[in-house]
Amino acid sequence: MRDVIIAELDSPERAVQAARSVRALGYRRVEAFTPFPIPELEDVLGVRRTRLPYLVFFAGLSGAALALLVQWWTNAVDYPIDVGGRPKSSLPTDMLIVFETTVLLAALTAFAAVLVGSRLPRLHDPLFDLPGFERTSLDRFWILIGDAYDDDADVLDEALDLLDGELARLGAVVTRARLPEGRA
Amino acid sequence: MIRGPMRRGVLVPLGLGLAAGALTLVYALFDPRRALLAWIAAYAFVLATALGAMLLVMVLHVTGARWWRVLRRVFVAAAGTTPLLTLFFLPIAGSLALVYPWASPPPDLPERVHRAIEHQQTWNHPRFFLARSLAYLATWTALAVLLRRADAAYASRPTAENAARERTLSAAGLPVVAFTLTFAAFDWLMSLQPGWVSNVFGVYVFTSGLLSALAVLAIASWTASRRGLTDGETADHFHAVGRLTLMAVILWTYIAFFQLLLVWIANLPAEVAFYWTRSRGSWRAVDVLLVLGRFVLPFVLLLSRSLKRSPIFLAALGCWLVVMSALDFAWLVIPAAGAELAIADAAPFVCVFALAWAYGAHLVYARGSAPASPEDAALDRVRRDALRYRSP
Repeated sequence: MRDVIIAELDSPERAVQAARSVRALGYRRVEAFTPFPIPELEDVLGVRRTRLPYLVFFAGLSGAALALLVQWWTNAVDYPIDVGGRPKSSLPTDMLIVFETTVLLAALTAFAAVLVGSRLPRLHDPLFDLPGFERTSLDRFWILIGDAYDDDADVLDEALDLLDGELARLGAVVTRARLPEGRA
Repeated sequence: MIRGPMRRGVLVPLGLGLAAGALTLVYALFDPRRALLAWIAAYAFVLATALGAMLLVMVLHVTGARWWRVLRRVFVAAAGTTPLLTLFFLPIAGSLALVYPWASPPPDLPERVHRAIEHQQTWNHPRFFLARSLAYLATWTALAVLLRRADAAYASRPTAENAARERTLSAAGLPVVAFTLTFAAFDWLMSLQPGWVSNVFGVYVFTSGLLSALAVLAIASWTASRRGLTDGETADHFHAVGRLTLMAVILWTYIAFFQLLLVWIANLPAEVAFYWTRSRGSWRAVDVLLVLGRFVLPFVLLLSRSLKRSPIFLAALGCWLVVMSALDFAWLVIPAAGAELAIADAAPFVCVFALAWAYGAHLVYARGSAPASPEDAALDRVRRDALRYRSP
């Protein structure tokens, strides 16, 4: 079990301001839950662009290499057949399979990497048990401060006070919640 | 009146084009047949570029795209250079017998080619050929002028009727340009090599022209935005141009590859002849250069998001792609007569391209920097959407 601090806000602008204040106070493990994407929030929270494209690119390259290797080996080495005097290993006809395998491997890698990277499939998250959390998909904006965690109750109280004082002017409801371990 | 750097933007390419034109004349005095071949290649290159831009503008109108409105002046000017190209067709029209085998069959033709020429002699009769060419050129000129007028009307009064006018014109023009471009490619380029036919040839010329058009648009948009002639464009707008360029690179490669693959699989002498002539001598190097320079390099570079969002990178890549596109048209035309690539072939390319560029620059600058009146601009919802455009 660990403790987190949660701020609930009622507009995207205030959520961005709140996130900015929390980051300015030095908290680093900050997450936001919003009903729709807010581009500014990504900048404030320091969300980097995904590195997924590089992975997909190299998966595509290996798909192409694999297809070339398999076709060259079957057509020119393992079971060569003379078809009207054409070269045993013919690059133009190989290209179709090369293309298919490139796309297949790239797409499967992208699919799998997005699932793993987003920690899916996950049927339940302890956050869902927090009262009112379902409104983050309707009209509420939640900011979760993860590194307020400390075993020491005094430290946590202090952080709660600090954030409450900082965010109260934005109309935030700041609470403390206890989550089961296992959530980043 | 156009002044200062803008005046230079017209006069420099004009001077360059005229100088290259003089060199082309000298070339024609020494070797008229060879010079005319290069001229046809250069002509087809610039024409396909202008028509590629025209088709692009029409597609953007018909699909209701809005992002490009901030660069519309450049896009419409590129499409609007088509009328000038009618003029450059005159040398070709005047000397058909010099290069087209069907106009004056050389005595040493193989039997197969001879039969093909006889089979096509009604279609390729010089008078019928010229009548068709005139029809194509008249169609494109009319469409270019109408498109430019509709654009100017919308720019001065952004009303719903004027928007509908652009849209209707584009919807009607798209199939017309598609068919005339295909037939012109068959007539002007494919008939240089009688006996060789490819159904996809018209599409090949179109995709090649579209890629070259996007390259030109990338350069011109960068130049125009440096001179403050565009309308609030951001990295997102260039990103859209970059994505379209990547699409065009893939499209051209796809068409070019499948033409090769079908010929390769069928393995018929009449069809293989096209690739046979293009894989001998200096053309072998051009083959490799085209695959690497017009597919591999731009494809890999344009995969990068940050490069696509950089106007100066797109302009630089655009310059490279313009050269590669010119080379593609040289590859398409010059070996058809069994000739090698020569350095002098650059003269007609520079001449036609620079003169068309000067005319396009004139079209961009001539509209001046006077936008719609503020009230009208505020009413222009399309423009407002274009300014707000953010790429995904």
